[in-house]
Amino acid sequence: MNEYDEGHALSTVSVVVRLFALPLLTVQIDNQQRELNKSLFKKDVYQSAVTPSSLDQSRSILTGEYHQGHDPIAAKLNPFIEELNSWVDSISLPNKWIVEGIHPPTLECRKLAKVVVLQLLKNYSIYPSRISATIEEGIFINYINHVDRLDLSIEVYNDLDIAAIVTRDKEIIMSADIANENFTEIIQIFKARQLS
Amino acid sequence: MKILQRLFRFLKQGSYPKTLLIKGRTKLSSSAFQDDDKLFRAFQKDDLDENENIRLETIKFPDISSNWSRFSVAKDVKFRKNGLKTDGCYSITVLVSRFKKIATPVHHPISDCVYPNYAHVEIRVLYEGEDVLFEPPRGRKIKPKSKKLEYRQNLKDSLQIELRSE
Repeated sequence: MNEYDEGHALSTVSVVVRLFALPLLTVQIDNQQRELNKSLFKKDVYQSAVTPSSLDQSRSILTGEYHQGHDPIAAKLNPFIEELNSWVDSISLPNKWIVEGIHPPTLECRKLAKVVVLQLLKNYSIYPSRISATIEEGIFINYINHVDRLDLSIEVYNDLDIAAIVTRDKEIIMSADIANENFTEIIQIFKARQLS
Repeated sequence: MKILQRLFRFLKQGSYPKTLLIKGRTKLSSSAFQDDDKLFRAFQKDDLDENENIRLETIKFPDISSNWSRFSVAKDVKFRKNGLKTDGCYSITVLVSRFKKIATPVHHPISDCVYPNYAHVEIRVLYEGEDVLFEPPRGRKIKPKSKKLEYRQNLKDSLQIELRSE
């Protein structure tokens, strides 16, 4: 199996997971999620920038090492979190890019990409449709909002900068540089109808 | 080494596109580009997503190499270093390459012994206030990253597949 096939196989697995498992999970935790979101909004945490310390805390919550018993949502998300972690770890650079002198995603870049996908899963219940290496040296992450026909592409670069873009069909709706892993503004565009 | 290169060139003379040969022609200025001229670029099968569209993450910018339609056809992209017979080709127009005046094409003939290419063009970065007819040097950086991503996204959304990869 070559790199393309591996990526495709992973992508197929994620499609199956999203098609069957995620809707079931969403139904189960929908009410809990709503309540949690309400309380988060009240505390003004949902809208605030993510600081390194809060990232550490949420990461430990997500990996189940912290308050697993008190955070049923995180516990239910564990299988998806494991899959996302493995997905990011498995990303490799196509040989033709290696020949061209393109650098593969660094360890730090992979760590940051994991933080991004886990944050977006936990905070906004979105799951990537594709994760791969980018020729711009880093990790590319794509999300699709089928309801509003919106496409969100995020690139986490080896220098740990992050850029994101939202498009509908072939129209660019918004692009932004993401500081402090704060996706609030771009997610509000990407999930406008669901969040309203 | 040069003897080997000459031998290689002699052997492939029959198939090499004559329009790509330099033949003493000089580089043209940016004003020679027409908005609807095409810029051809090679791709491979693994550059496509499941819907057979070019993936955004495979598009590198800046200093994108391409072939000018004025002196070449789509399949000529296969005649380059590391080119494959199975390569596909997509095109963008000169107008697309000048999206938001972020970049502009520069004619850059390659007088290589093995792969001479008179049609070669590089899409290079323009700085704020520079005209699209200005010829920027190679190697400029583009900031912020979101601007670069926007340019690549527009290129992806505007490109046309000319030749399918095998």
